[in-house]
Amino acid sequence: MAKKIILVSDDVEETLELLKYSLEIAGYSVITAKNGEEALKQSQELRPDLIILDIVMPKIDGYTVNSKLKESEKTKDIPVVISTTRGLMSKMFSTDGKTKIDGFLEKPYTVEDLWSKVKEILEDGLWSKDK
Amino acid sequence: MKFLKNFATESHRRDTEKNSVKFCEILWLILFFCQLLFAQQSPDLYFNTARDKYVGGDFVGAASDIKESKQLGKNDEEIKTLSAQVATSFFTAACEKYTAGDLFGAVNYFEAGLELKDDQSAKDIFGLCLSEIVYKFYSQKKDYQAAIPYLEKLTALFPADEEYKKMYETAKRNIIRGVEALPGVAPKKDTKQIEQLFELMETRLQKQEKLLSGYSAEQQQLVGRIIDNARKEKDEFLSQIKSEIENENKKTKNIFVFSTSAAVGFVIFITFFLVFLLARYLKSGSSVIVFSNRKNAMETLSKTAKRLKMSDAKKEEKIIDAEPLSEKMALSIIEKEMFANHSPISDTPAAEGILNSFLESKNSDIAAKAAVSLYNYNPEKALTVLEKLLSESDEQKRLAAVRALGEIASSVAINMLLSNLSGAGKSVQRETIKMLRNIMVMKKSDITDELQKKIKNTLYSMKDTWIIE
Repeated sequence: MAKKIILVSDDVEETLELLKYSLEIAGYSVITAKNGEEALKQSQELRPDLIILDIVMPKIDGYTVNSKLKESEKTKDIPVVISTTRGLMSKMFSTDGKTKIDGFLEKPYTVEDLWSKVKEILEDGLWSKDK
Repeated sequence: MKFLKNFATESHRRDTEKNSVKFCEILWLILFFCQLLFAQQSPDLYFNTARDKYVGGDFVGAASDIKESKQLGKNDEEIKTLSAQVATSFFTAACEKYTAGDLFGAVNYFEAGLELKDDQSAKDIFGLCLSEIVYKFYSQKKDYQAAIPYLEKLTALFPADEEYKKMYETAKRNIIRGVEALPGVAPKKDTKQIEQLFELMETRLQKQEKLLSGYSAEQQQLVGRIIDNARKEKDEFLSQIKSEIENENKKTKNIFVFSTSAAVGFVIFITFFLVFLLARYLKSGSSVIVFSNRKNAMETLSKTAKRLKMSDAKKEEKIIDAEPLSEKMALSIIEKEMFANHSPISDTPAAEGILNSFLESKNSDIAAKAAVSLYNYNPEKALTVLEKLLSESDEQKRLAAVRALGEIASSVAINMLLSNLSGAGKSVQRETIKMLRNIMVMKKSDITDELQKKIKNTLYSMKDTWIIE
């Protein structure tokens, strides 16, 4: 079975590295994006199995990236996990309750939390079926 | 004399000319009226105006003139063709009306069209349209009397049709029972008979379906729609009637049970209401204070404390055993009063006295919240309370203490948070990181550079296992 591809987008270099390292250990292929624009481009081109988005990012914020992904025919079915702090998350809920968000990782979270969420979505959940 | 003769001759000539003119005018008028009379009565003239009206889109006018022309004896191919054309226009209009939901409008057009041309397919469709109207009267309007004329139209349209005749007779004889009742009084419904009528209608509709093969695509579509609608109406109506009858039966059967239940319910309601009033009276002390002004704050607080019996030996028992929600509400109200206008009240012993009761609460969130308020009067005591909470085995108590320390965010509180990180469980660690991160974002200017560095280093050391930023 081919390795599942996860796109991780975060503007903090160290976080990005930690996420990449942690997910690779767990057996996933990881591609990274340092900002929202890059994340959108990579999603369209590579169509990963899962996208993990930080909310506060330069150029395009994670929330807008998620909305654009859900609008596009090519990427609308890719599950997106939002990685954020509680304050920002609630703000997002209050501004738009319609945009579909497939999962949250509330900061601070541990590597185990990350593995558990990814497993939940890719292996146990609706998206568990191989492409 | 000559002058007089000439005058007389001239006068006579003028009279003769005048008379001649009058005669001509009368003759012209007679001829005109004759022409009008004969022209109006001419079948060809009616035919011509009918054709002009048809071309101009006035089908009703055209139909009327065709009728006149036929009555005057015109019966050639020319008028038959025009009649057929106008009739087709009426049938088309009828279909349009039907599609738009105007069944009665459709009926008028079908009737007008059939007067001009005896078209079997139009008759069949018209029959179905009338059937649907009958259904509508039965099911929607419950106006059985109004349905009769449309059943009559059906029997007139298909005089040899025994089924329509039977339907009409059944309706007249059985279904309309009670229809002559006083206005506003609903006629009795005979479900069995109504069902029989609908069965007849259903049979008829099935027969009509078989005729569809000879129809054009447009006609087939229309008939299909009528049949579908009629069946839907039938099913809805029958189920409605049945449920109405069942409900009526249930109502009658349950009337005794309902009365008894209502009486018992009323007694229970009164009992609960009295209990509610009593409970409200016992808890009422916590709500009055909100409305007092700051000048009288301490006085009001003391009164409230007395009401809550906080000043005697039973106060702790009373508060601690209280429902968490009302206890939380009481603390919140007291806090609001204490910190009105963003500055704490000056009577420290009184404030401490009130908050002390909450510090011992079984609810760790309330105890921690009270400690945050107490920090404004007695920081040492507040931090001691929180330190004690932080060392408890109950995770909820430790979490509450972490949140309270994060809110206080003094250097001592921050150091307590930092030393709490190592060895704490995952949830407490998460909450502590959150608090430290919030302090670095929200209260950075309130803390020393040295402390900032300490927080940064601690958080950095955790980055191998925690995603923080």
